[in-house]
Amino acid sequence: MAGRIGVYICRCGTNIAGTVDCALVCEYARGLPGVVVAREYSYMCSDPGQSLIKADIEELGLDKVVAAACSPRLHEHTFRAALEEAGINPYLLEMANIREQCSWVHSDPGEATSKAKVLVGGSVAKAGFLRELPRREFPVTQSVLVIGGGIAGIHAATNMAAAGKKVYLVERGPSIGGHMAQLDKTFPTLDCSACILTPKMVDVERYPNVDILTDSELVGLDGFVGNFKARVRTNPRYVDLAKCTGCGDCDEACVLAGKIPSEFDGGLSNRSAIYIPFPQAVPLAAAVDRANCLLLEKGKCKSPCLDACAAGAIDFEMEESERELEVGAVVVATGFEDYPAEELSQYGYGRYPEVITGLQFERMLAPSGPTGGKVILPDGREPESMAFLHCIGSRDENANEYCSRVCCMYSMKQAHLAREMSGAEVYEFYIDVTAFGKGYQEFYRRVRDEGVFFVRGKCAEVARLGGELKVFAEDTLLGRQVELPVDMVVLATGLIPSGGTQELARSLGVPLGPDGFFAEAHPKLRPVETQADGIFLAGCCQGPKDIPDTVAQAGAAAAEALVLMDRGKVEVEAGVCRIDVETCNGCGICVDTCPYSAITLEEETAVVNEAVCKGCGLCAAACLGGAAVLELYDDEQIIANIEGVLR
Amino acid sequence: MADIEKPVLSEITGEFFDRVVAPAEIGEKVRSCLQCGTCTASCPVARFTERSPREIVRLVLTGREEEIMRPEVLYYCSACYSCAVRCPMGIRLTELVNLLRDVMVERGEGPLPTQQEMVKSVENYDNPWLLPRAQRDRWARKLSERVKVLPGKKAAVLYYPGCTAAYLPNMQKVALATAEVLNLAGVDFGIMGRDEVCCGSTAMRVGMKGLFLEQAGKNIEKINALGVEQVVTACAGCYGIMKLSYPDVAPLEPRVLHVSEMLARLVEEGSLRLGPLPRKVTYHDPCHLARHGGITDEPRKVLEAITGLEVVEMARTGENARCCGGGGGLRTGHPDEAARIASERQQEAVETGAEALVTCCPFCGMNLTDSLALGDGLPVLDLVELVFESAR
Repeated sequence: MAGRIGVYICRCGTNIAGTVDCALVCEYARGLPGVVVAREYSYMCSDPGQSLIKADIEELGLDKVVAAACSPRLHEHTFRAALEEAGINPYLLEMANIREQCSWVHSDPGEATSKAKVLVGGSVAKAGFLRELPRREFPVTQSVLVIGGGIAGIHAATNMAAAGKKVYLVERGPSIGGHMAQLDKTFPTLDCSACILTPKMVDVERYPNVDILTDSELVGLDGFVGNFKARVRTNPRYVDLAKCTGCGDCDEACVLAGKIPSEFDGGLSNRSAIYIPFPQAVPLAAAVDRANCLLLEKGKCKSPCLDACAAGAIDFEMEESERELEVGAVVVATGFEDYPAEELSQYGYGRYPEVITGLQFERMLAPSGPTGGKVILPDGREPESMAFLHCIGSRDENANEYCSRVCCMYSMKQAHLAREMSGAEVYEFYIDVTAFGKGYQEFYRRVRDEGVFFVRGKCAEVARLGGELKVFAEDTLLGRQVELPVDMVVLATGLIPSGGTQELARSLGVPLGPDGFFAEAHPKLRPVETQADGIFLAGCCQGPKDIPDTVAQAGAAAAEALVLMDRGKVEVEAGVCRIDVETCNGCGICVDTCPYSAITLEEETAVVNEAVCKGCGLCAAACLGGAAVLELYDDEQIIANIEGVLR
Repeated sequence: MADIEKPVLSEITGEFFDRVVAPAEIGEKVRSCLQCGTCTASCPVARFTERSPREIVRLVLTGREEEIMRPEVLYYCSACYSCAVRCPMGIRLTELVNLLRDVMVERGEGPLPTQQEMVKSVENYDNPWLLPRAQRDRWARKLSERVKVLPGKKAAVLYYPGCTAAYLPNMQKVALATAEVLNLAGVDFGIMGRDEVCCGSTAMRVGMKGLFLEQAGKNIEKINALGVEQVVTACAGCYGIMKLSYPDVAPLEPRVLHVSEMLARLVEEGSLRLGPLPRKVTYHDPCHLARHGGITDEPRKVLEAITGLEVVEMARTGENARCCGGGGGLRTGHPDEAARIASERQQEAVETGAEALVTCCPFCGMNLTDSLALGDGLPVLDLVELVFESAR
């Protein structure tokens, strides 16, 4: 079954023509049954290239087109559009991949040319059996789900809210703000982190079209781009947000007041079992720590919090709830966690109280923090000497191979502040200083000028010997071993994916990279998209990054989601499953096989929900009677394709 | 003042690396070295050598063969594995040095003269202590009927004391205590008596690869012929070699256990009851057990099972324990440095306020005991001695 087929062979500069003799392939194509015209051109995807195809369709009356070029992932849509512009159905196109699957992977020109001929032959044979298919479009729900309420989630949510979209900002913890709320000053400008973050927190809360769902997690996501159904579970906070005034009286009344390590202060201070997460929390309301509350855990407590709460906001009968949200897009902004420094036992974290992490030191620097902004040792003394150790848990096969990108800078910022506030002698132990951002090298120089002492060598060990806390390293520039007694050690701990990232990735159907962070669709050209259409990434959930990059990426993710929503409709792949109702005997094997639950049985016949079908073809392979057919890959087409290859 | 080296670039060819190191299994990662100095900062001998571990890697990669193939550079490593477990790039530096020692020996430039005596002894008497084969089972005489000698008799477990515990008069207590404890716990075990040969560790560590293969081969053949299910040793050196290096030589059928693993199991099962021993001790992790073999919990579990015993940890402990300085041929090759390192380790033990230093390797035990001549220190006990005392 031929037709009037045109074959277009792309040279792709030298990408294809460097290995494949395109003229020979062209000549071969001309001799194939049904082929009316075959041409080669330097860049078939370019305007003149597409014009060649369009002119031939119009002048020669072509009814099928074969493009022998790169992977269909790159230019299938380009050529389909050309067909449509020339007035024929876009699905009458077949692509032969003679670049990724031929010229790029072979070095022998003769053999590569033979293979290109064979691939073109197969495509031409298959093209004869192509059918017209409708473009499938669906409307896009004008709302968006943002997962994670750190600076990335806040920024993305604000931008999309400002554009008039309905935004659900889901945060696992009791307040939005994320790690940025814990930081004292930000590098390299040294502006106060809370001063620049809290206005944004208040701002996002003020939008009437933003729903902030704290204590909430995504538990499932169904549907497809533009038409997702997100199931969100809200864990009981035991405090009615509508009633709580955030006065903190319950916090003081709690029998466990001052007994539970505060996660916000990195364990450097203690809180109650009912507490205000931090002074600038949004929502500013108390929350009950379920795992530690005596009443909830042991069933026994005088519950003085109930008496203390004048607003009557505390409700221990509260239960978890689940809701389904209809959204057109999802922005993932689940951030990071501090590398658990105790896993590298040689640094003595958890053993020596004078050894703390960078995030703990941030809390110490913060005026509202556990020490009131004073740099002090556990015994209250000011340290006279301090060591900052780089690359703890990063660039290390024993922990994580990647660079955490922020530690050099935050460590140097902390060194600067430590000197400023305590006058201590300050040492930085480093392998390489990664200071790549705007103003970062200048800051590095400033810190050196100020007299922070840099030792080029990774610290190997921290141990208390002879009554002194000592840092062991090599000054590799001198080639001498260093055994430096210090009063305090700050570990520049790296960043790892947030807890629960793997489960979330499974719910979303978005792959993770080998480093455990969410994988972007393309490292350069699609940095905020994922392999799942309509799901975008913002901030550290995609990999460690600083605040400027996080905010930039959050803005980009919001923009991508807005493009999707403002376009108002999405086109989905036409290559979906079709059931031949005459042949279907209603056995239901396809229903069980479909991984997307796209097929149901109605009156003993399989029915495909085309909106949900992803065109994977499992049903077509499983169907015993041949009733399930995958468009663009039906039996006739595949057999013709094979015959064409074997010709 | 030294001249600037010329021509610098043409010297940096890495030709020596490509020829000697890259073809070996350890070669694959050496190129990734960041020169961060973690190895040197972790090294107990770097202050004595001409070149630090970090410099060794750099010299190897830049093909500076003459500067590196020198006993002053290569024959200090005590094979403590501190550099190897901490290297952020996963470079197996201990094995790199061992490989270079193999090459030194092939070229007739190693081992050190004092080490050669020890090596000759292994060649001639199957032990490094210059003592006749006939004396290997002397330690067991006191036990008379309480120990079976294989292969004449059958047993489920072979106790392999190793040369130090079998031969050295002040370390035979380790072998005796092990046998007594196994008896008390009702373990069906036996020894090889005079038939036992050196595990090959001493030969391997100084670069005598051929002799190591020979010793290991003999041992594997003899042990496999006994039909036992397990080999238990109370020496960390023997353990590391049998467990981790023998598989590259030939399959050893029985499972290799360090005595601390077996004791931990016996205590947990209730087969070994430990009585009260009100004492305060600290525990020294032998390098070949903790870092090479990865065993740090079991000896502590055994100590915890002794009621009344207080265990206080040294500043550097577990995987971070400082080497005693005895291994890698250092004690034979550079006895003064080995003693100094041991004495420093003893100082850490003294700082804990403990009354005794417990370890579970006769070689560490010997080196840490001998260092008492240099200064302060604690009396040294082997884990099995303590267990025997408490179980009696």
